[in-house]
Amino acid sequence: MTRTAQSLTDKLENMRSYVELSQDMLPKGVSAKGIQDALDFLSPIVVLVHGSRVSHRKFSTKKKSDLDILCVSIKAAFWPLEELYSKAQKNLEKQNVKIDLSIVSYRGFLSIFEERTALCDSLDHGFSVLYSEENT
Amino acid sequence: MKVGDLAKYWVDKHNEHYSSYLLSEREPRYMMKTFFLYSYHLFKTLKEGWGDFLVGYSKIFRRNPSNDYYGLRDPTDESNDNARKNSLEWVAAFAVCAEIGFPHNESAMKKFRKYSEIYLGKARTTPDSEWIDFFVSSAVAYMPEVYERTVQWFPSALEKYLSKAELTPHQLMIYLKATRNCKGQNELQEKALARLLKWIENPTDTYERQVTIWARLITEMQWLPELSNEEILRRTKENFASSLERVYSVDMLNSPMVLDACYSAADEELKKEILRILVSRLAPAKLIALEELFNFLEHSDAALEMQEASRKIREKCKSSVSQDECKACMKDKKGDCWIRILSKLTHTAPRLHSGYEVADKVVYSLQQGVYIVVKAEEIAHQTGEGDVLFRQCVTLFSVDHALVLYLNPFETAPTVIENIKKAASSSKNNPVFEVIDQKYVRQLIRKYLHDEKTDK
Repeated sequence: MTRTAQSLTDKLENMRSYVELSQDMLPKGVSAKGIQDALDFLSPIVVLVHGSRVSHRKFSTKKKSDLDILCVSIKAAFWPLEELYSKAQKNLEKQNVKIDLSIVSYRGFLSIFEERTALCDSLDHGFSVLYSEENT
Repeated sequence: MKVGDLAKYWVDKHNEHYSSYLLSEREPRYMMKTFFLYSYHLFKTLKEGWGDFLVGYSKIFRRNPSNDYYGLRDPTDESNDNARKNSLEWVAAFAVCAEIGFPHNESAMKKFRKYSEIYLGKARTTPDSEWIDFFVSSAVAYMPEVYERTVQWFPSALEKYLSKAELTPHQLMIYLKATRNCKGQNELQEKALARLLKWIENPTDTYERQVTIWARLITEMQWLPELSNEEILRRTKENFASSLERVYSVDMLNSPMVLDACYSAADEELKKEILRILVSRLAPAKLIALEELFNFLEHSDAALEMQEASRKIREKCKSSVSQDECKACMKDKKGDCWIRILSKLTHTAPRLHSGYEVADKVVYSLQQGVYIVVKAEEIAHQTGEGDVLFRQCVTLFSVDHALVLYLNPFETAPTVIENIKKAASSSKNNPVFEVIDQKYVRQLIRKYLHDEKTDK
């Protein structure tokens, strides 16, 4: 496990909007393991689940919420993102639920907080750690 | 302004902003977006050797700029300044989408189309608004298949635009691009072209403005026979060169387009001079990716004094080192070797003897799927040395999307490296094989030795 992953996980778990992962954050039939396997090729440092399934605050009128996943991977800096997205989406299709995936590099992830982007707002409302390299 | 100074200026600005564009999730506004679009065009003109940037740009151009982004870019905004920025930002956005594609994210793509259609609807009813002509014309010029309805009513709008007495050559050029996509509008095209040719014959702007106009004529308008004929092109190039000589600076936004024009119009010697500046000063796209792992790396060759030290570092302390011995060495140092250096610099525990390590070379597993390969000896004497290295790397390519970083302190035989690169590009598993050359290897050593000193 890299110290990067360790410090990132520590940082995330100390954030106010961090919540423990619970099964009700994932749609029926979707498993954390299934998502991990689908994103395994990205060698993720950390995979987060965020959005209304975690925060229970809805910002759209849709009845069902998408599953919002954020994957932090060093590999995001080395491949065209299009290729990584297309492969990840293909793998995630097996999960049978609409997943809104974001793939960011480690430094890109830090900039989400620095730049206060829309993704940062979503994380501020609540997120949980679905997978961390720390646990491998 | 001398071409060399212009090249240096653009390189400095590119080095300064490209990394933050790549890493920041904040979408740049019109100025920076246009700077990056023109820089992308410049890399396309340079062709060979700059593929990393073409990939890098296409990656960032298509990312999701957040859902509400386009909803806040109204080119008919009441404030003239906002209308100008928004309209010109759409020009860059249409050009990017036409050349590279819509954002990856489906909802961002839908918002892009939704708001552009809304604004085109508003533009139709306000043809006299300042700056609106850039927005409408670029939609027709760059994405006629997407904005078919706009293509239909564009000729009537263009008639109104052309009825204005004062039109800049930039306006005329975007009109001409748009008329390419409107069948049966030769008369309007001729009107616009006649005014542009008149300006070319009798240029009236300041030299600062003229530079960008001549540059645009060279880089974007050569598809038009009336502008690419020998006489007009000669005049355009001459006027471009003399205007550039007369100015002290070029604004940042247009600097890549002006440099693009310089390169296109240059003789072989000047082309070489421009390339020499770019090769020596431009931070490669690879460096920005490597900074994910080693954030202290610099583009400048700042660690020359480490040349000898980097060549003295051993791959491993002994040929059959165990994982436990390595871990123990991290606390109780037995010597400096590449395993120890990589462990310290990446803050990871060494994982050796994985299924991917063959022969007596180091494959440093940073994570499953992310490897650093070191060949810290010269390939010179023994036959088959290169074969082992080749086999070692190809074994790693069996992992899906393997990232293999090759540390190259001895500048391993180029043919071996080429063969590994070929194997990577033909692998079905889509690996990336990146060579970390001596310049960066020396910086790794320097950082390691510095950290060791301060740890004591």
